[in-house]
Parts: sequence; structure tokens; C-alpha cells
Amino acid sequence: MVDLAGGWDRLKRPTPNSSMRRFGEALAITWQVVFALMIRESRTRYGKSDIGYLWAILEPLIQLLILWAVFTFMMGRHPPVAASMPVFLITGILPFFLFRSSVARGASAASSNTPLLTYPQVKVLDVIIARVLLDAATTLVVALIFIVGLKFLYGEPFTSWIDHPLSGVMSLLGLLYFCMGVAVLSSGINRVFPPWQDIFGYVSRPLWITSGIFFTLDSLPHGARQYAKLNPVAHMLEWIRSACLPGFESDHYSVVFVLTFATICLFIGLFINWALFVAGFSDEAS
Amino acid sequence: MIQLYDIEKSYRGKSGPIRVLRGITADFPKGVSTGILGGNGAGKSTLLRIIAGSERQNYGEVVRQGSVSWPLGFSASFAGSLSGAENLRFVSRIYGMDHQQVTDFVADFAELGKAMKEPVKTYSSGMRQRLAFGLSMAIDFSVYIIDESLAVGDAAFQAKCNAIFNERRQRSDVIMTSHSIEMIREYCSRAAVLHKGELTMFDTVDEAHEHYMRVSA
Repeated sequence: MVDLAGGWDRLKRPTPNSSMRRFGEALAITWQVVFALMIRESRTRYGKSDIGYLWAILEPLIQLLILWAVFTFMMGRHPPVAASMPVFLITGILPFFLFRSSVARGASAASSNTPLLTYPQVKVLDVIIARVLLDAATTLVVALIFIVGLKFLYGEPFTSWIDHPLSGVMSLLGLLYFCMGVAVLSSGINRVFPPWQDIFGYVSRPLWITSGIFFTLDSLPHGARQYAKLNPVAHMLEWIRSACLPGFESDHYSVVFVLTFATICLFIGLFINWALFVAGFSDEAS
Repeated sequence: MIQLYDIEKSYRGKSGPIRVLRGITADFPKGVSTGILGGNGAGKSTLLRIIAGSERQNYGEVVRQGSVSWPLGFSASFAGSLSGAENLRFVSRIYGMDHQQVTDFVADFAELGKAMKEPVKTYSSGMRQRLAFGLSMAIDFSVYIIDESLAVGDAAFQAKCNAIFNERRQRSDVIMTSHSIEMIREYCSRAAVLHKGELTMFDTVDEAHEHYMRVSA
């Protein structure tokens, strides 16, 4: 009989490689897994037909047309900034959709991928990163289609979308970070509290109204603005518009607020994720 | 090489947690194949899943050097809406393998032909098993985990499974459970007994079998 009492001392543990090398290897594996998951997600998300991807364009298009019609033809209003109505609306609709889908896809990341999570190198965090990156890439393509479409059908010049290129890119990277943060938190909440997914479905409606898709913080009366400024998504949209729309610069948003909020979400989400991992938590399939 | 340090695992039961593994410490050195004996519900599958990394322990640590397979006998995790080839590509990517090589090997071995391009949900369970077994042979694991059964398919295909696996055993180790002590004798040079959540390792299969008969009687 082999006596293994006091195993910690008796078994010789393997000497680890230098920590930098191990970190590099871990990073390479994570990227391998995230890349494989992105391809897999892109094939399964809308079923196998490519028509499914049409929905990614149709949904914001329908919302654009409705809001455009309501504000221009029925209420006879101009956008609250110097931009044209479709440009103003799209810079609100697309980032909001990306935010909303990050929360939703983050929430179901673990429960809808339980078979994959049995591969030891696939972690919940990889699934979340892959989903948000795929969503961001899809949104970028949809945005380009809108920009080109409006140029040829509506005569909207490309320059209507570019103010300072560098700050524009920074605001979009900020959006990506913001979406990662809320997706990681959303996943953590949903794993310990599955009704979260449905609750967010209800929360997202008032969020849609207060996030500034069809107004700027500046155009609100003072009282309403104080409440809208509690919503980090409103700050995010205002940041993107300030950076991308020529001639619009808002005094009412705070980049620090957006990034702090995203970082707090990310850290709480990572902590829940880590605690569940250490405890050996098994996710139940939805 | 795999080392287990003080592994604990429990599941939620109706009247409180059920402690399946109670502090298991064991060493599975390179070049040694080990059988695990235990009654029904002793936690053999749980132990194998934790060794494979398919499931996470509640407490303790697993150290793995080299790649460890998922428990063979269960089919690997495939996405039903994707084709056999697409599933192979995904698994090849996460294991850092050349997916063309893997696909060619599995298509040839598993005799799936044109079905490789069809969604896996249209496969019979036999086809899925052949795909999973072929995939596990395409990846060069240093340790193979076998839960109960190895060979799949009809008699001819089972012979093919055994042949390729015997060749693979020249360079890979095995950690396995089986109802058949003959199969464990064939594959393993030593065995352990899992009883009441504790694992006792023996230097030979015979000693382990004797101990197992004594505790399970």
C-alpha cells in the first residue's frame, strides 16, 4: 500500500517555469480559445442561415426609421445638435444596442455554454470576451453599412461622422471597455441569481428612454438632467457624440464617471467569477 | 504526470450536501497506468472528471503536466447545430492543433464520409461516439481518461478502436474505471480503490482487487 498521508510534503511538486513565461503561455491559450469561441458563436448565433445576420441591421434600421419619422414629420423637430437627424440617432441607437446585448449575452454566457465549459481550457470569462468582441465587430460592420448607405441614399457626407479621429477612436474603445465591464458583472449576477436575465429585460426599457438616444443632456431641463446624469449609459452616449459629431461638445458628461463605473462592474464581476471558480461551482444549463 | 492534493467534492442533496470525495491525495506519475475500483455511486466518474478538468473540485489542487483527455466513453461536447467538421475545427483550435490534419484523420477513422458536413444533431448516437473517439485519438493526449468503456460502434469498429488505442498506449498513460477487472488488468499496472470518499492506492491490480472485494463485501 502506498501511504500518501501528508501528501503536501511528500509529493515533489513540479517546479514552475518563470512566471512571465507562464503568463505569456496563458495569454496565448486564452486568445486561441477566445478566437475559436468567436468563430463558433458567429456560426450558432442566428442559426446557420446568413439571413439571421440581416436582423442585426434591420433592428436598428427599424428603430431609426420610427424615431426619425416621429421627431421630424410628426413633431417637426431638429436634432439638438448641429448634426442631421439620422446621424444623431444612429450614434445613440447603435452604442445602446451594443450595451444592451452585452448585458444580455453576458448573462447567458455560462448557462448556455455548459457543455463547452467542460473543456478545461474554456473559462466563462473567455465566453464573455468572445461574445462582446463578436458583438462589437458586428456593430462596427452595421455602422459602416449605415454610413455608406446614408451617403448614397441620403447624401450624408462621410465627414458628418468624424470630428477628431483620435478622440473618436478613444470613445469607441471606451464603449468596448464599458460593455466588457457590464457583461462580466451581468454574467456574475446571473450565475448566482438566474432571474437577473428577466429583470434586465424590464430594466432595459426605462434605460432606453433615459440614455439619451433621442436627446442630449444639454437639451433637458435642469431637473430632469440631474436624474439622467445618474445613468452611466447617458454619459457614454454623450461621450461618443462629443467625440464623433463635428461641432458638438457637451459639458455634461464625465469620462471619469463612465470608466470608473465600468471598472467597478468589471472588478465585482471578476470577483464573483473567481469566487465561483474557487468554490467549484457548476453552472446549470438553461 | 498528474498530482491530486487533498481534493474534496460534494454535491447538493435534498438533505444537505453529499460529500463524494473527502480529501483525496494521489500521485499519477508518467509511465504508469492506474485503474480505479469502486462500487456504484462511489464517485469514480466525479474523480475522473476532476482529474480531466471537466469539473472543478470544491477544495484542493490538481497539478497536471502534459495534456489530459476528457473522459472517454462519454461523447465529447459537440454543438448540435454545427457540422461534424465545424465541431472538430473548434476543438482543434482550443487545443492548438492544425484543424485540417485533425479533420482528415477523424473523417478517415470515424468513417463518417459526407455526414461530416451535416449538423451533429442529425447524427445517430453511434455516429457521435465515433466522431468523439476519433477526435480523442487525433489529439495527442499524454494521459487518457477512460470512464467504463473505451471502444464504440459495432464489433469491427470496436476492434479498430482497440487497435489504435493499443498503439497510443506506447506513449500515453491511462487512468480508468471499469466494471471489468480483466480490462483493468490489461491496461493498468496498478490500481486504487475508491471507498467512502477516500482513495487507497496499491502497487498491483491484484492487491487493489483483493482490498476492493473485502471492503465491498
